[in-house]
Amino acid sequence: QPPLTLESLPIENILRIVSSLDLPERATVRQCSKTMKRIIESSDFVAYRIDIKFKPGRIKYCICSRSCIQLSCSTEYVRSYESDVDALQRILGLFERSFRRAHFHVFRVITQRSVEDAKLNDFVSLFNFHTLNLQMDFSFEQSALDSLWDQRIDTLSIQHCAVDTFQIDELPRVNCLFLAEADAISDEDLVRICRQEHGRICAYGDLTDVATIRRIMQDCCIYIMIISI
Amino acid sequence: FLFPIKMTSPRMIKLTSNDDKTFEVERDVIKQSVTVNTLITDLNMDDEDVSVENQMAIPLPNVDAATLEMVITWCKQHREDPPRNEEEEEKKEKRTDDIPEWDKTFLDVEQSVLFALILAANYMDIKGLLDNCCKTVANMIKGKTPDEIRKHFNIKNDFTPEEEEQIRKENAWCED
Repeated sequence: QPPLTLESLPIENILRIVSSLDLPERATVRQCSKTMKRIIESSDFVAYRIDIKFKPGRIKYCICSRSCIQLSCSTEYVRSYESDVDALQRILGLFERSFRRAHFHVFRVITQRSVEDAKLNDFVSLFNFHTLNLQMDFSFEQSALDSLWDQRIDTLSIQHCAVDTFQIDELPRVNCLFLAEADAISDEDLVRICRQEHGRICAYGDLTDVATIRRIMQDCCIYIMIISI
Repeated sequence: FLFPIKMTSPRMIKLTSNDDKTFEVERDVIKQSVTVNTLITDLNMDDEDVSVENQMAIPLPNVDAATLEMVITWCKQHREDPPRNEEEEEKKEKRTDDIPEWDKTFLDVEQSVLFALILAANYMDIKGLLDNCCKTVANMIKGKTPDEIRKHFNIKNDFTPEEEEQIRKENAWCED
């Protein structure tokens, strides 16, 4: 019998090993051989999830995959939002510049429980998207979703929505989905979104760097961004 | 009056490796293997009336004797560990710097032995051992370049120069 090697292990074991590596280390493993590349790319985004601390503040980034990028910040951050607005503008500016360059349309779902409308609007204006910013207060219903399809909404923010009641499968297909207060959404649902919208995972990056975002976005057409506040 | 104290010897279970070597191991030790534990329960092997001599050995066709011996040693060392809550473990932040010192030394073995342990832990469903083996391999990967990883794990670079350049570009961000 030939000696056991890393590549000869079952995929589930290799993924278990890779899952405890940081994102750059996973990307490095992906460079080793076609087998390793295939294995890394075969896993869903959960295996890629990683938090990168943003130095200036209390914001954490989480890049999930080519099809899913997560930005999260702590509750404390939201509470200190007023005093820390510069940092937030700087961060959101990175996305704004990159997304605008890529002519992205945005579908945005926000469920806000503790942040006032004014702050939500700040988020929207900071991104400077062509936005139809609906402030809604409902549980998802099919008729409402149908009307959203018809209106070709770029950006939607939904407040006070019971996240666990809406049907993610029923959301309109969009280039970018923004969810806020997304902690209540299970990983399984996020995986489902990723598969539904894109299904492949190939690029990774550090969202603290504009050049990186641009690189990631060069050959990607669909992103899902979760803003968790 | 002196009453005789009944000394109950620990319940023993027999396991046979794929190279036909039989091991006797305490029931309490091997319970860490979900696979073996399920077999014992399903086959009613906890019946105290059956002596270990008359007991059927549980065959482990995917594990050789050397590896099984190591697995048993690990299980003995960890017999007092609290039961794992897999749901909680899944939620935990993945780390590789939390391998217990004993395990670090125990798992400081040749790669082929470590990989055999991974396969055995996977087959016998011993999550703690599997986790620590995988973390040990992850630690071997950490801080290495693709070339160093290939060399360390004897991985053949089967990319064409063009493919290699492409994938290097895609990953340039992580070399910054």
